[in-house]
Amino acid sequence: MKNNEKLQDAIGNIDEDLILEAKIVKKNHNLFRYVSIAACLSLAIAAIPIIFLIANREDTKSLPPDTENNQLNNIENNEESTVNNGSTENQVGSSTSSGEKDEYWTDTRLHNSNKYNANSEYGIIWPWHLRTLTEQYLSVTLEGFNENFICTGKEIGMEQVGERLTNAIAFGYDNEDQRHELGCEVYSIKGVSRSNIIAVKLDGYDKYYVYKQHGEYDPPATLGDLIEEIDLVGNMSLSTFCIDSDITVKYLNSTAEEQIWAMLLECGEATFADGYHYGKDERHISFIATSSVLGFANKSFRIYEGGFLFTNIEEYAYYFNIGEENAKAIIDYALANVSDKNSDSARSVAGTITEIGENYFKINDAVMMNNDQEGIEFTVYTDDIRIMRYFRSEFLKVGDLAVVKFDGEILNNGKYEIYTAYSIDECFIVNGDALIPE
Amino acid sequence: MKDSEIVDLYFARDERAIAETKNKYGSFCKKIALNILNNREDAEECENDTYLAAWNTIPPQNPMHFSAYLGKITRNLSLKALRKRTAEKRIGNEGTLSLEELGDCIPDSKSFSETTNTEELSNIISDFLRGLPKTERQIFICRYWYCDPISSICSEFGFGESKVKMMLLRTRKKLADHLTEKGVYL
Repeated sequence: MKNNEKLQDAIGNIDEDLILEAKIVKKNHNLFRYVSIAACLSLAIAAIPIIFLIANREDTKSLPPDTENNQLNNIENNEESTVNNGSTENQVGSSTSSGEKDEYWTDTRLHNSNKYNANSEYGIIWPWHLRTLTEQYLSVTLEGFNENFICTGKEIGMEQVGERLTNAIAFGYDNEDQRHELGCEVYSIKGVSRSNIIAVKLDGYDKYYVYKQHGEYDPPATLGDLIEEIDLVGNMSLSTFCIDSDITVKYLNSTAEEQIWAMLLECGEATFADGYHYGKDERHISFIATSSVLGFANKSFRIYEGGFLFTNIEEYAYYFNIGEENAKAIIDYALANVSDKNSDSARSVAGTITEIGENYFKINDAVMMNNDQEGIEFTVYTDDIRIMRYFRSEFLKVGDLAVVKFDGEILNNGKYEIYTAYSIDECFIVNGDALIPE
Repeated sequence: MKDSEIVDLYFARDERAIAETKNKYGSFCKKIALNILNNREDAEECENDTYLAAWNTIPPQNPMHFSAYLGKITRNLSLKALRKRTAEKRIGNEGTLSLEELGDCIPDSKSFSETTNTEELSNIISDFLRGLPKTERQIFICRYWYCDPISSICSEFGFGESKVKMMLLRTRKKLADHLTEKGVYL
């Protein structure tokens, strides 16, 4: 009989009172390191953190004239209050008054005249009525915390929502600096004991969104503490990685990913190491760290052959000394278990916008092909506000290059229809690849 | 019906004993079997074999904790069935997964010449478990006695996956050290 089996049998015959006791469980409720959350919350005025910025364009877009754009229907109907001179509005998405232009906001602090300059950071601050719900109600203030919680835009399922903590007010500012508020319920997130990440349910809506606070610099003492406090095993995938400076993405299957986690858990006692700890040209693998629940995307979880693990998933640079032997073992294992299949379900189409209709646009991917004849024209429906607004505001027009991301399948009924697009970005083509300026 | 009353039925050789056992502990036994075997038919077979084993062993056995006694029978029968299946074909389920994890607990005591028998080993492990903090002990038993999936342990205790896996890892290491100290040789 194998030793494991002997142990398994021996465990089977442990004292009976221990067996019974194991099932008398009192759930661990207080996962939070809160000092206290009072029911009454103060409404702090906070500067809007920059998440969308815009570069000035050399070809200055002409602002939409006083047309039907000024009478866009409200996107969502909900009761809310607007804190201004005392007047209230009953509808989300305040329409601009007649005569004013429906324009997007320009942040001149990050002026960049070349819209294709990939070194610039730019995005768009949409008019209030063209923002998604979480773009509108961007911030939540909780008593006991100096900084506001900012919405990551990510939604989590009910099964991940923990205990209800308190009620609060979510707020945001429109382009006229008018403050909008909406009541909300604040919850913990299961498995996450860090107090700087919460789930918020906005009044009148069923979904839960992740709000996060940047947090003070307070590195965990060990790698194990980091993994445990934010439940990294449950909330972050290690399925994609790059090797050294090669940007080609490689994939691990789920079994290999489990094994990598097991190897990392074995390094749980690895202590935090101050300073930088890598050598020039040191071999390493970089896992691409993304987590909806924890509110980060495309961060680094990197292992250097010299024995250090680096990560910036908490915005600060953390190094942990996992030891050279462990580091090499993890790197070697990952390299030996590269999968051909990409299990990532995100899909995209890139090409030239050829037509824009009332509730759709067409995009032809011939520019991505070696042979123009191989191009396919896709019809993408613009029900999602995140797509529609690019065309309502004329940010994108016929002739522009764009990348569209979507879930699900393309309806191949001769029209190549996409109903589930959720993201669109202008792009440029380099060596047959569509690149989005960051 | 109270456990003591059910056990009295066994002593009286009253066949209602089995019906009452099934009524009270049927789903408990089936869950243990299902965790290990991951197959409804096999689990039901083990459940029924449990009642037969209880009938054949009570009396003279007079279990103090009737549910745990039944659970042990079910567990043993299920593991036996699982090992027979996996000898023929590898099957990944909680039974085999938890078995693999127990590899971490093998003591480093090859220098000892005498093999420790199962009963003695069970006593050593019981003593070890009593020395652990309660939650750590409960989670260890849920995983390696009940063969509960990690996800249901997380749900039961309100912990994240990372926390449960780390706790199990640490406990396995502690058990290995403890067995080495005690001179256990498998």
